[in-house]
Amino acid sequence: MSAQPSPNTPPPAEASGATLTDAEVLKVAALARLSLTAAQVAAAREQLAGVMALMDRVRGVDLASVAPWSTTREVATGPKGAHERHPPTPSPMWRPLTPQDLMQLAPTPHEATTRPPFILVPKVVGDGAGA
Amino acid sequence: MSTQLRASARQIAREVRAGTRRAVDVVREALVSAKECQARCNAFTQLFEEKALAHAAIVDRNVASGGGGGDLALAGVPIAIKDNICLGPDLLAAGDGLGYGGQTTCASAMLRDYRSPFTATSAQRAIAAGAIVIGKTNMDEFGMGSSTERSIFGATRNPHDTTRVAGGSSGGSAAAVAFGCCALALGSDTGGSVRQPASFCGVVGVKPTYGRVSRWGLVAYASSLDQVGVLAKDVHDAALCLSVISGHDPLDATSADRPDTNFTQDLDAAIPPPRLGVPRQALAAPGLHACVRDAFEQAIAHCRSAGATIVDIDLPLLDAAVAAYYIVAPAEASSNLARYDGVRYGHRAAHPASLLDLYTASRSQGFGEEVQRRILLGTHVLRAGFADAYYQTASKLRTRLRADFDAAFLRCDAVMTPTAPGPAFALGAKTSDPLAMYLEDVFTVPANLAGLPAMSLRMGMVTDAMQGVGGGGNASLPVGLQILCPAFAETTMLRLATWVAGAGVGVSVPPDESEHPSSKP
Repeated sequence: MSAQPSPNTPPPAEASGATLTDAEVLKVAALARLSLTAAQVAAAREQLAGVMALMDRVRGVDLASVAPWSTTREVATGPKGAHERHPPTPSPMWRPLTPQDLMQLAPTPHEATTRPPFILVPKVVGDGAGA
Repeated sequence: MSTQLRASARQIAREVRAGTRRAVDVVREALVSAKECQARCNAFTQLFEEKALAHAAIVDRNVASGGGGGDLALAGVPIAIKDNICLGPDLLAAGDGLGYGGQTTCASAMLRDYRSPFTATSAQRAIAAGAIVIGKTNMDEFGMGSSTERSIFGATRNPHDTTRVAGGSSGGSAAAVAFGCCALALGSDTGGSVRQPASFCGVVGVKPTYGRVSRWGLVAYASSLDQVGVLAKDVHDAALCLSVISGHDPLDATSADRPDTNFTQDLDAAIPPPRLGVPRQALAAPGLHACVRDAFEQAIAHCRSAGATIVDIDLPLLDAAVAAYYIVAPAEASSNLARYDGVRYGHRAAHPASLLDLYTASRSQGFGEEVQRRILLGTHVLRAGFADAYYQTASKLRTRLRADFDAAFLRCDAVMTPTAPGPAFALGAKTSDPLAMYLEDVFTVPANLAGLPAMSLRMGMVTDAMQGVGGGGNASLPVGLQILCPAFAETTMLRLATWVAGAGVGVSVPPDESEHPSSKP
């Protein structure tokens, strides 16, 4: 691991595992659509703090001039120039989707003639309460 | 004495194709063994007794009638499939009305009753090649774990010592192959989930290059890391199975279109003495047990004696890789598992007060403790203001790690490390300490982060220095050697593995029957 000071984007103060509060844990749980009991919150705070401390190792590495790993396609074929002895054959599956492609996949576009921007989304649960 | 399949997958397929052995007989034997394995190790989530025998009869009929059975690479070979790889009701043969079906549970209450409408490409290719699926195997819930203890079906036990874990998350697949009830098994490897259980159970485990094997039908955990892998008794069987399941698949946009998909040719051909890279950080890894260090140094010595050049290489990010993994994987998991909301599929909570309550209650009831922990972690690191600090940084680290490997591969043909820092640990030893469990993956996650192929083969048995791993005392446990190669260099990797085994590094199948785990009381 690099000993140089990290130029990486600093996280908000509350990102550090050491400062994770019960309120933070509850906020994250709400975002994740999970409910936690008081005991689970305390346990989660302690365990997340330990894991966040592990994660902080990443922020100590000098990665200022490094590009992010951009796509899974790049993972499959490797960064440009690296071990590209057999470039894969382009596949029709990899062409970019057009708006027409997407509209063909959309459900029940029966309103397209009268209200072109809209499609009908089928009801998925009960009477839609809370939706 | 327990029942076990003694023959390799290649031998079974050869005999079934030649008509000198019936697939039905092989499968009947495998099912007897699988029941014994289940009673002793809890390796399976379901067994396909009737369907497997019916499928075997179809293979036998095809062979007898000359209806294409003679071309089947895996004719009559019993295989087990990890329970996060979908098996649908697809027909096995026209007119027979037979499909495997069954549930694809991911060992989760969330998917306890889920039946996939389709079959994963990897499984479909194995079945099309004549493999007979004897059952689905146990795993850590959604692939999140390193011990196969986080399962609604209970923990899988190690065939070598049933007081210890089988590793994870493909622990059921590894235990089934090690026990001898199937010649092959499919698993999935997101951060070492094929290789680490292979190490713990003493079998061969292969994680292919990202893109080599289709992920279609593999239930998503972390999509930029997930790969279907192979567990086998030996390198040749692993190469055969990998050849069958690999190849481009238009149903998976990350599937690579490669011309090299036969890995069985010239596996035993003489190769020049290889240059084997050993990262200087490997022997300083946190938690590395003395017995594993000794076995690794002995393996290096064997390779050097056989003519290999041992190259000292620098992989400075090896230590940080596990941290990056536990950012990337939970982040992607929190996104992938958002689909389990009690509406579209999966467990649905009863009598919700509102739609939001339906989501929250269904997810809280359906997901286990470790899955919830990783979803929380992933949600935390992806929050507004946090993603740059964590996910983007981890993503950059992946690029750097891959560059480090690429630089290393200019100086060596392969990189070698231990597969896991220790042998199989005692059941329950690490379930209350997630951090300790995560550090089990220190050697295996770099291959996933960099998208490289890697495999584990047995480098020895350890009988001493068990201190610190718990268990029943003086057990004889396997430990694994990991070989990593450049992207899409599986052919090289498998040839090197046979070379390494030939150099005297622990063979994958115990030559002495008395050593076989299924023969233990």
